[in-house]
Amino acid sequence: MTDLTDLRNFGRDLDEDIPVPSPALRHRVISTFAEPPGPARPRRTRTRRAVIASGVAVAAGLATAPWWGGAPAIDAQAAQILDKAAVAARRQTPLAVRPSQFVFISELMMYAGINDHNGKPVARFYQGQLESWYSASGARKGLTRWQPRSAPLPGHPTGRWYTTPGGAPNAPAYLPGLPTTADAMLVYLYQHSTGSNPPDQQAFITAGDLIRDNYLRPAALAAVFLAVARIPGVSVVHGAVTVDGRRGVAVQRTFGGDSQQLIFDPATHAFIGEREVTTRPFAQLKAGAVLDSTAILRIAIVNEAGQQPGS
Amino acid sequence: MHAEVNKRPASIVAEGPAGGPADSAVIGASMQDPEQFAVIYDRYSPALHRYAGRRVGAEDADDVVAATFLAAFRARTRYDLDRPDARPWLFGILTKEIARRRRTEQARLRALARTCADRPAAGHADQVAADVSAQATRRALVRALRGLAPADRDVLLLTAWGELSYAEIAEALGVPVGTVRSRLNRARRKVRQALGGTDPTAITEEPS
Repeated sequence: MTDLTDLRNFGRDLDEDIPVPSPALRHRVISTFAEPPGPARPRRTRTRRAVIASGVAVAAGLATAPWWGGAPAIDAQAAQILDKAAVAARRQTPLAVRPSQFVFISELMMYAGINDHNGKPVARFYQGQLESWYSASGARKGLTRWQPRSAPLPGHPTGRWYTTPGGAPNAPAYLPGLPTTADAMLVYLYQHSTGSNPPDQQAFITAGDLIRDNYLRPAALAAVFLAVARIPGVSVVHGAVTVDGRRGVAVQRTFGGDSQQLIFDPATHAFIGEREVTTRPFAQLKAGAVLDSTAILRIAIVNEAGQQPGS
Repeated sequence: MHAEVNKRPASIVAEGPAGGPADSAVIGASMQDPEQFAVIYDRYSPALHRYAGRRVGAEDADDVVAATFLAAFRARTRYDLDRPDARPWLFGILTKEIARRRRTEQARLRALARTCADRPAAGHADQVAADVSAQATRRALVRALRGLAPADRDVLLLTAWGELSYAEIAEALGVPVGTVRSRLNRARRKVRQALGGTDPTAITEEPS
């Protein structure tokens, strides 16, 4: 005990020579807390929404149904869609990636920001194009830029690009070591899930996060689709529309009022985007409203952050 | 600066310090409204600045704190909103920033060792004896801190100066609680050995 007490006393002695943080420091730090809304979009929006939603349910004293027991086995149609998606993924030509390079991802997206208005949650929609350069190895500074197309914040007119240097997460975006079999990928998805959702739902969300924000080699991408086909409770949604208006066929998993959907091109079976649909009224939206939607426009490998890929 | 986060309905968010919204709610709100992150600065900058000052000195404390909040702001989209209290997360980022200044910290410890050794004692005999004893303790502590592995020093000082629990340190550093415990035990053993030379009664086991 004495050692810690001595250390604490020593620390307090040291405080005599250290001024409290100055207003100048506050100004210096807080002036860095500003950026256009787009790049601030969390990588794990879906996880966040589910947390808020479950918080509401708990606070309102509602008994939520237990998540275990009752998740039906995947339906045959969804399995078939995912099988075809895996076949299509395997047919892709693998991109060569060096650790020093960047994964360029261009997405059209819309999402509902949940704001509070006089104590009531209100959804406000943002739409725009997001271009991100994620360091392949995670070692270099990434970049995101965002072009709002609707509902810009004050001072952020639509049509122009807003750049956030270092705005892309510092995590490797090229994951060459990912499992390439359905079994191993299924284990990976459950093990690498964080968040408060039940394991099956979280694994489904993790699959979406993985393929949205990273470049996966064809075999790993195929393994993701086959693994998703084994998550209990996955079913099919026909006529799901991506944010750029493409009509696709989706597989979904629903929990806590959120339907998470991965959307595929009905003809080529390529993964074209994803969305989140509320299955019950939320933030003054009706059941069935789309809360978040992303259409992948392009994934490419480039040498530098900010560099546009050749056509 | 419009910190409107306190308008958030209590039904959605857990409570934070002083009855305000939880840190997680503030960070969640800052995804849409980046300026809300200032609330996090106001809550934690005093504690982080004090801890940084002790470790790297007053001159570098401002830079360390500024770098910590910039890194935290950029990483906020990956903050686990299930954790209402952001303090461990911030101390984790601060620890990384201090680690970048390992040389500064070592230079500071060297300087502290010198000031402890050189400061002349003056005054009444009792006071002199107390000062000499206190200086000897300080010198022993500085010597022990200098000799610790960086990872052990982090855990020891997050405990003694950061007032973080085992679980919070585990969260801050991203290591298992068992690792925190063993690092802390190792660090404390070395500190007690160093103190033992000046004060034999210092070698006591903490109960439980």
